[in-house]
Amino acid sequence: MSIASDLIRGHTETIILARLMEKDNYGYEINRSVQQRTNNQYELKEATLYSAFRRLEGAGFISSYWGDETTGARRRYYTITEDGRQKYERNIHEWEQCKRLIDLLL
Amino acid sequence: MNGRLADFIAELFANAPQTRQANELREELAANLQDKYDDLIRTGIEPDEAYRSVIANVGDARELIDSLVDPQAQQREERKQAALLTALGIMIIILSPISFLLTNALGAHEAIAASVFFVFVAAGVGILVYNNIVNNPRYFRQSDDLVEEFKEFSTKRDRDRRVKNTLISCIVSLILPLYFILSFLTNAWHITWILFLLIPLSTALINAYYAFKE
Repeated sequence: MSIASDLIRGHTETIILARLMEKDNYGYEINRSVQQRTNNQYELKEATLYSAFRRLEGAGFISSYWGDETTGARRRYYTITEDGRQKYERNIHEWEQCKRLIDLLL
Repeated sequence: MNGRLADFIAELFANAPQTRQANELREELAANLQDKYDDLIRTGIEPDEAYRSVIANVGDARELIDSLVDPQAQQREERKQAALLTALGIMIIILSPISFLLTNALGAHEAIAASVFFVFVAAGVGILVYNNIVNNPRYFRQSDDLVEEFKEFSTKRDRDRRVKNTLISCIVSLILPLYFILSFLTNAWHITWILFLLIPLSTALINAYYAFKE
């Protein structure tokens, strides 16, 4: 888990953007879907998640709002912005290129 | 909320600043940790194990929390430095007559006494001017409500006004000697008075620049 997670951590922002492309989400739910999709092989650390949220929000790629929960504490939801969608497309494109190059080299 | 989780979060944020940013992060973290804990319990995991699992995944949150900015602490540091410089500047100015007292006692030349006196005064005034320009307190808003926004706006406006006034008085004190020098050189007193028209012109330019900046 250690080496792979170091390599994946660089893509945390794109992973978050990908989840937000589908629908608005909050911290834990994003992490849970990451766990489910990778069959529990990968999990984002809370610290990594929140740092990424702040960076993305600071750059204007996502914005946040507080939800109205019927029970329990209120949750902070994130939504992707138009700039965020474009950034996501760019990142996907870069990743595809990267994948192709590395596959050629290794 | 689960007691042990609440304690954990309280300990995590023990040294965090009392800012909106810090409080929101705390609330978000608490909600997410509680959600994860509840989920684990629901899948049949023992409370102890669930708690440990949740804690273990927080990772290096300490670094994140340490990076939370504390504008009030920053303000306090700046004010301390400003106060120090002001006190120093005034002290030096008050001490300036020492030169005369000492030279009388030591029997040195009067010119030396006067020079030392002016050096003291210049040093003291220099420190005060430097302090005034560098350490104007900047106000960070504590929340996005109207009151904080106004406080931030009005201190910025005062700062701008101070800079503008300093600029204008600099220009006026330059134009006066310039007028005299030019007039004595060319003896064209009937023309050189036009130089004074530069004052309203430069004032207008400065105001226009600041209006444009906004």
